[in-house]
Amino acid sequence: MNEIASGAKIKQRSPTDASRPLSSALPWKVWVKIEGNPYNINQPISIQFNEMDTIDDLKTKLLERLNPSRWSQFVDNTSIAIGIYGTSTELDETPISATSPIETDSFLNRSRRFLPPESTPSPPFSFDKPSNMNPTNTASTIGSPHRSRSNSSGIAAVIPRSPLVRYSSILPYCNLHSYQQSRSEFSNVPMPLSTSLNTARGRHISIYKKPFKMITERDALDPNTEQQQIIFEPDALVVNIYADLFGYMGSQRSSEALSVIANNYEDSYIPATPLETINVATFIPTNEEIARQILESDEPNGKDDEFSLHTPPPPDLNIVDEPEAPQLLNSQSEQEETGREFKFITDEEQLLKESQSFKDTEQSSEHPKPAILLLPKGYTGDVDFSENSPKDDSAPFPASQVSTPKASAKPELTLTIPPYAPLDENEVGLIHPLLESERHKMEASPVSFKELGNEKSRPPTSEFGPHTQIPDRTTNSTSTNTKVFPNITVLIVEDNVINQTILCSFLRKHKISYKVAKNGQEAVEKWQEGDIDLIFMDLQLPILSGTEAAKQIRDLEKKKGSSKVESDKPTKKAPVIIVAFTASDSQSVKSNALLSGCNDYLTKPVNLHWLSKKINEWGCMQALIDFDAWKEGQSRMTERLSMKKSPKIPVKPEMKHSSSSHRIRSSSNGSSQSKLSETKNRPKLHSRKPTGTGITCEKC
Amino acid sequence: MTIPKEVINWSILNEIISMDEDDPGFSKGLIIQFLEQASNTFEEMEVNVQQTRDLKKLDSLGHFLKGSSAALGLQSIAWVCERIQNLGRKKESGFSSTEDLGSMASSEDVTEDDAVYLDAIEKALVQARHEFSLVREELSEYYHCEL
Repeated sequence: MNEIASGAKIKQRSPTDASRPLSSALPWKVWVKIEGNPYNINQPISIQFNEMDTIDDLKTKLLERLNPSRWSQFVDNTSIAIGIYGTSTELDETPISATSPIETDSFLNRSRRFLPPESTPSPPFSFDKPSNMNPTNTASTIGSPHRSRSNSSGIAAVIPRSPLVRYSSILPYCNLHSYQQSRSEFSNVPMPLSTSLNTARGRHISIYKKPFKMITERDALDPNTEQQQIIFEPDALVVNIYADLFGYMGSQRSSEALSVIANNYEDSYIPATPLETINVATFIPTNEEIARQILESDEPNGKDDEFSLHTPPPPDLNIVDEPEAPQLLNSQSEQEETGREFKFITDEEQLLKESQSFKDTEQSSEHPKPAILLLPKGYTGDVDFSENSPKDDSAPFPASQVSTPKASAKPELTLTIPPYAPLDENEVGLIHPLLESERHKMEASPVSFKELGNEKSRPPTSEFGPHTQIPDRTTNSTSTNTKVFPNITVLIVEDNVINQTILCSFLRKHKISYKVAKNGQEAVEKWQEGDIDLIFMDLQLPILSGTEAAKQIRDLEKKKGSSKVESDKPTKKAPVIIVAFTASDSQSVKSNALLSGCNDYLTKPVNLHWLSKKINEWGCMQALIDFDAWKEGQSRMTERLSMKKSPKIPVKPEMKHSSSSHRIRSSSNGSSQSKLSETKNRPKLHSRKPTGTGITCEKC
Repeated sequence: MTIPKEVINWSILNEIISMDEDDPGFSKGLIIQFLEQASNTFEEMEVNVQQTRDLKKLDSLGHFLKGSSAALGLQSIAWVCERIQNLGRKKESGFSSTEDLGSMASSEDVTEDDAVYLDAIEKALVQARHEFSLVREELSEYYHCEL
């Protein structure tokens, strides 16, 4: 403890310390700190652990702990490692220094990060233990950096990267050999540091071995001091490591936090330099290679302690290295890779999509078989395949910033809102041109929903020609797994442009026609123009509040119903559904909304998932009511003639309510099932809202 | 009731970002627009605190900005806006920024004077601007450009 107290940052323990019992009185926790994290988690974090926890468990706990944070969305257990910094002075004492002079020199001359991406020549790619340089190892080890490098030209991919190539868990096929080996090595036996892996940003990554020195403040170091990033084995016990490093439980200070090294976000600093020399057809080890590797790892290896690998430095700013590229290619079984492509898969949906298109391409046999690269969830990054073969232009990219090479397919981009232009508040009443044409088509179509009510069975893809703003392949695939919404018109009443834009965009995405109003007054006017099936109404609006607007609309509906003006407005059939957006969760606000004539409410901020549910639920209802009206025609009067007078069914009083309610129930989904199932028919649906909607059948 | 730990609720923002698929650059444009809207609203709040001293207006401004920031998942700004909104309605007694949590007790004895609320709103506004800069920082990082 004195060592710490004396302020020594560097601390060394004799191996026997490891067996020292940890105090159980204190909660067992260890400080960790996320290394180079751009997501504002720069505080050390303390994590509790127990006797049996391994480093891997610790990582899991860390991820759980940081669950809602940005950082945790970009990493998973396999893409982070926990380690410490140590000095190379210590390493020099070890019989076998892992660092070759060449490398040391070249890295000393290189600052660690943020170097301008100009042409610092990268060191020659070398293995300092030629004995180790069997072809398999070579190929497999460079597999990782090669891939990341080939992607690094503009791709900030969250993919296994070289700095942590150490772990077999990162690239299972990559390092079986060394992984197993070091596992056996790691047994708390004092042993010289035997393995040093590739260098990352000028630091050496090593496997934790005793003895070593720990450095807690890197920056305090002389930059020329060679720095070792020492990474713990994933299955090492935290307790042991803690004991080794800090001794008694609780003696670790937060300033001595273990480093959590992730292998992804450095990418953001990588300039998008094209690497012509490397074909993006990225290296994938073949089964034979993996098999060979496994075999090798089983072979008795006399050079256990000398095992050392140097992969090329990871893509640092200054290491966007052409010099290495040819070597990489040469050292690999080139012939195997040619013709391979990568696609980026970020979620399950897309995987399905891809496997489908994979089959398609197989049939058409126009394209070589694409390889599928899985990316962690939430991957967003620059993907630029421009240096890749032209084949790639058929690949859809899900990531947000992906620029689809298929530029020819999207000349209609002008239709979309230019991202930087100020939002057009006068979008009111304007239907997206695409939707407009869409609607025309649907109307022209003999099987349009309004006529037959079976839009759901209609393949939606047929509606989209190549003129859509999305490359058609994307359209095809999205439409297969997106919900099909009923053909309705939605009025958005929202004063905040941002929310307006989000809602509009959402509706546009789902090909639902919409109008926009920015206050209650406008909402009433828009509604009076007709054609609105569904209103999303913000309650707090300037000029005329949402509740007031809802009241007015209901009053107008009533008037219309009683004065039988419906004949000259053949478009409007059922009363409009008003879904209120309430800013607060309070019951009074909600019941107020319902009292004023709203049918439903959503609490802001509106979850788009719920929004789509509501659209589907109420939209289907509206569409189905209309369908019944159409189907029944004028010929049929039901026994519920009293309904006729109801203002809510002004046009087609003869609709058969029982059938419509039945359909409503079957068409509604999850969220409202209970609510709707209470409802035996439509009038009742309204009558169960508190009162005063003006549209209940009791009132009529 | 304390300010949310994370400045940005990414699960909400990611929903918005997912719309980039159909409309490249959509989320970024939206964010830029929001940042503009927020700065303007802050300005307006400032004027209302310093000159017009209009609590009602501050309430609605708070509500306004709360709406858009919440929709984008910028929860810390939304939170402060809600405070401003409530203060404008005199529904809350005072604002304790992160710096002066210790002086909470002093704000217990609230008078019905508008000045108390205006003072609190002024504090909240400082906090809001601070959260705003954090948001800007984080988003600039995300979009790899100065927003």
